[in-house]
Amino acid sequence: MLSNHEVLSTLEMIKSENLDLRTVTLGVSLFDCASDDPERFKDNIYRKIVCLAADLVDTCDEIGEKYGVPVVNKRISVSPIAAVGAGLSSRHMVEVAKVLDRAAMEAKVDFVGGFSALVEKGFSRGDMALIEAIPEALAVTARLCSSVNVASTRAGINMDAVYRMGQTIKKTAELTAMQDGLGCAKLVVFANIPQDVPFMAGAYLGIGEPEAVINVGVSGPGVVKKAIERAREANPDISLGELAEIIKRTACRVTRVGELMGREVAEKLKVRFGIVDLSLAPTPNVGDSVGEIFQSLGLERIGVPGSTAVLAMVNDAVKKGGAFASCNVGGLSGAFIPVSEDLNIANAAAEGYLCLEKLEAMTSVCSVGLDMVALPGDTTAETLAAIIADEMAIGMINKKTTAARLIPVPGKKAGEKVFFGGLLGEAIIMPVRSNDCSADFIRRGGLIPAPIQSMTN
Amino acid sequence: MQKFVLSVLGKDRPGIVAQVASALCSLGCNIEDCSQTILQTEFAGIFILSNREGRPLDVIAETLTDRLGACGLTADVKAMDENGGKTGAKAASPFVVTTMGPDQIGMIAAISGALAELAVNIINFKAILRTDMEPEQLMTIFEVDVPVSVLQRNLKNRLSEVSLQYNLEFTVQHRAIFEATNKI
Repeated sequence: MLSNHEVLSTLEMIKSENLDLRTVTLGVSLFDCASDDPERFKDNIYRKIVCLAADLVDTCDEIGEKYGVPVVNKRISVSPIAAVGAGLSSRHMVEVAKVLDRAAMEAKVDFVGGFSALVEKGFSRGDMALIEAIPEALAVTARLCSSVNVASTRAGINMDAVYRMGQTIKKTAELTAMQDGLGCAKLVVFANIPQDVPFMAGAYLGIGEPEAVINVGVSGPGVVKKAIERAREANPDISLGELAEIIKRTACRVTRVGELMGREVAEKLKVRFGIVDLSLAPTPNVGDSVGEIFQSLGLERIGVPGSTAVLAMVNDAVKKGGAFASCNVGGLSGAFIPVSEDLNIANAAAEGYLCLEKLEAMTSVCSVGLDMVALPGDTTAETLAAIIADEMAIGMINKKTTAARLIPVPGKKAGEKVFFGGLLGEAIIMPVRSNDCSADFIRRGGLIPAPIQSMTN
Repeated sequence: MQKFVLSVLGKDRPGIVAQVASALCSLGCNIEDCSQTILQTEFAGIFILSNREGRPLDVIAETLTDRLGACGLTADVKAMDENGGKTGAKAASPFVVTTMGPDQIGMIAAISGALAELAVNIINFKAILRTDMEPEQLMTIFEVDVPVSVLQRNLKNRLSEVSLQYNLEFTVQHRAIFEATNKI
């Protein structure tokens, strides 16, 4: 028998606090599609994706209806195309991107991720072809996401790849200039990329993953914020340790939703269940914001002194709660701080509370990195690469995932507004201090060696 | 062994369960199962008894009515079905139905009637007047077993008709979501 409190609190989480299953992502291995004939390869991947994902959306909707918890996004992640299409030219890679986009449309999913390359130690031919194809691929598709892993704790930082990604981001922005550089919102540069992330734009299916797998991403910043507010109301003198405990318990409850629904979707689709990624992933809506959590914990705005400490506490509590709730926690699991996707964070940046440097400091303790940061259009490729290099260094040394999703908005300056739409949101362009001061360092190239932390064997 | 069902009603106060149990003990009746609740000021209890010493039902009923009646309680005893009360229910899934809206005469009859039409069995039912912030609002929580032959969509459609009539908001969710978010 359920108590009134149990029924009411669950209803509140869903109805008033924006608890949802943010994404159900079907991972599809494409290694058996490989062919030296580009046409056959394209045909193989289209057939396989459409066949495996045929019932994905309907099944997600059915399970969402059953439990009264909406599945907001249904997505597909595939094996890194640079590896499965290693023999293809850059021109053919663009064709493959179009096929992936068409397959995503046919399966009625929001995004397909995996137009990816893993180049932390060097480039293969396929990697070079894919990276060269990224700007055009993102310009001619609507649902394609791309990621490139350029660093890891084990391998160090491939600075040639970092520079190339700076150039690639610039070119992608130029090719999608009419949409404020929207293509860059679907391109992430990673250090220590996890193989099972269900969230976009970084989702791809790792090489060690099964043939097909369901990974789910649960969100719920609104639920965490409300839990903090209720606790503070009940006890105005509540300590940070007690609040961390509340965040942990709340994260546990939220993760259980993902575990329950993800397993059922996987069972219905007859594929393996992979992981639950509990990430406080905001949307550009009031009440669904990570930035608001900072305020509920006593900071005037995200970005003011104390923000890194708050983020460290929140990120850790979320991980602990998630780990207790499920044996299959993976992906990024923590707190996202994507600037344009979180109304509160975007406003803090617009009002000058949050600058790029503070954001970078915070990424040393959050679950991802510099995410959805709109920068002036005149930011040079070398400066973009240098910002990426800094971010990768944080990930490499701290043995954690870091990422950079930077959007140098063509023709726009710091302080101007950009609008990406939907979940990608809108933001004021953040200023870059000392633009074009890092070129000599970046052009030097080569590898930054793996740190001493890599020697764990 | 013969089983009886005893129901007891009365104004709540300390000692009711002790008085009922003492009376049953003196009649050689064993309490196999029981459940009690308090609604506002009223006590209600239901007891499943096994008649260990084989006294006739009318003797037990008269004794309990007299003894508990003297304490201000209303008691009713009846024989339980031979099969122990098992209804041979068909395969069903546990769901939770909630409604929220203005308190009105007839709405619970309409909701429960809609459930009965679809052979949905109510396992537990609570109505909560939200006296604090919304004094005119009544929330109902039905824990129900929905036959597997009934589509959730059909149940929702039927409840939607009733909810429209009584200006209610309603939810229908599988019980597992409440278990998942509340119980470890």
